[in-house]
Amino acid sequence: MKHLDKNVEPAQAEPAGANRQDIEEWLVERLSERLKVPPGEIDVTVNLARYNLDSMAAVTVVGELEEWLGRSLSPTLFYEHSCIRAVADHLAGGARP
Amino acid sequence: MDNLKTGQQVGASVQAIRHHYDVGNEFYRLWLDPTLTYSGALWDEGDTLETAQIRKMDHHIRESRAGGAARVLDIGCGWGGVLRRLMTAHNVGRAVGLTLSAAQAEWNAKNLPKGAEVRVEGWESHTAAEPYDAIISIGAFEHFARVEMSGPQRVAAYQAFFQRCHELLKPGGRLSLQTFAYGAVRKREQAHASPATQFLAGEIFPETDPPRLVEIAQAIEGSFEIERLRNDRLDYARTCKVWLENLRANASAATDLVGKEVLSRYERYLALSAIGFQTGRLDLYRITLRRADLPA
Repeated sequence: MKHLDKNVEPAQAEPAGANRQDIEEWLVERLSERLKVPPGEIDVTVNLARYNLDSMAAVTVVGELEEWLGRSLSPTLFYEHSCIRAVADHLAGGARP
Repeated sequence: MDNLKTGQQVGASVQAIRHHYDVGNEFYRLWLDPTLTYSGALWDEGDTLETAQIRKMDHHIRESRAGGAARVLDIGCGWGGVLRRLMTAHNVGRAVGLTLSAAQAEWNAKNLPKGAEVRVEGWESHTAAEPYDAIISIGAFEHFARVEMSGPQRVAAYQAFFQRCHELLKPGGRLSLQTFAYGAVRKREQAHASPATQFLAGEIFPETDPPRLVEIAQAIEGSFEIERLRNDRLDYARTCKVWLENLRANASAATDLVGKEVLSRYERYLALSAIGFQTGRLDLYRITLRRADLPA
C-alpha cells in the first residue's frame, strides 16, 4: 500500500468497501501522476483516449488498482469504458449512488 | 539482403525465436489451451479457448482447401495443433510442419499422429519432392522482419516468403495466412517510439517487427492474389485476456518453472498485447491467398 497517499479518506484505506467515488478519486490521483497533469485538470466524464495514456502506463495503473482493490481486473479496463466515471461505476458494481 | 541467397534467416534469427518459444513447453501448457495453440483464436458464441482455437484451425483448413488433400504444409507449426487437426479431422494424407524452435520440435516428435512430420527448418531452406496442395501459416509472418530493416528491405523479405510459397504450391493452390500487424491508426515510426513497442521488441520478441498491411499487399504482387481478408483484432484481444487469466490462475506453478521475473514479464506482455488489439494499435489479419498463375 506504499503508493497510497498518507492523507487518504478512511474509505480509501479500506478498499473492500470502496464505492464509486472512492475509486474515481483514486483513479484521478493515479492518472494525474502518470500523465503529469494536475488532478483538477482531469475531467472524469471525458473520454480517456483524450489524455493519451500510453499502454505501458495503463498496465501499471491497472496493476496498482488490482493491488488496492485486491482483485483481478481486465487489462483493457480503461479502453472498455468511455471515461473515468464509467470505469469507477463498473468497478463499484454498476449502480451510481 | 545477401543472407537471402544463402538461405539464412532474414527476419528473427534461430536464437531470437528460441529466446521466446523455448522458455519451456511446460510453461506454455499452463496458460495455452489443450491444443497448445499460441496465436489468436476465432471466437463464436459459447466458445471456450479450446473450441475457439479449433474454430480458427478449421477456418484456415477450409480457406486453404486443405481438407482431403494429399499434402499440406504448415509454416510455423508451433506445437502441432494444425497438423493434428489436419490428420485427425480433415482426412489429409501427409502434413509437414516447419518450426525453428527445438523445444516445439521435440514435443511434436512425441505427440504427432502418423502421417504428420515436423522439421526444424525455415521456409527459406525447405524443399519438397512434390508441390503441396495447400499451405497454412499462422503466427510466423510476424517474425520475418527486424526493426532495423528499411521499408524496401521488409517488403523484399516478405516477397521472398511469398515467392517461396508460390514455388512450394501446386498451380492454383491456396495459402491461408494469419499474422498480427501494426494497425493503421499510427505511423510505423510512432508505433516504434511507444514504450510498449520498445518493451515487446526488447524483451519479448527480439529481432521481430510486425508487418503493415500495405507491405503485405506490395509483397504479394506477382505471386498471389487476395481472395479474402479479415481483420479480427478483437478476437486476439480476447485471446490475450484469457491467456492472462490462465497464467494468473497458475501463477504459483509458473513461478516454480520460470521464476517471478519471467512470469511478470509475460503478464505485462499479455496485458499490453490485449490493449494493442483492443485499441487498434495492432490488427489481426486472416488472409486467403491464391497462387497467381497468369497465362503466358
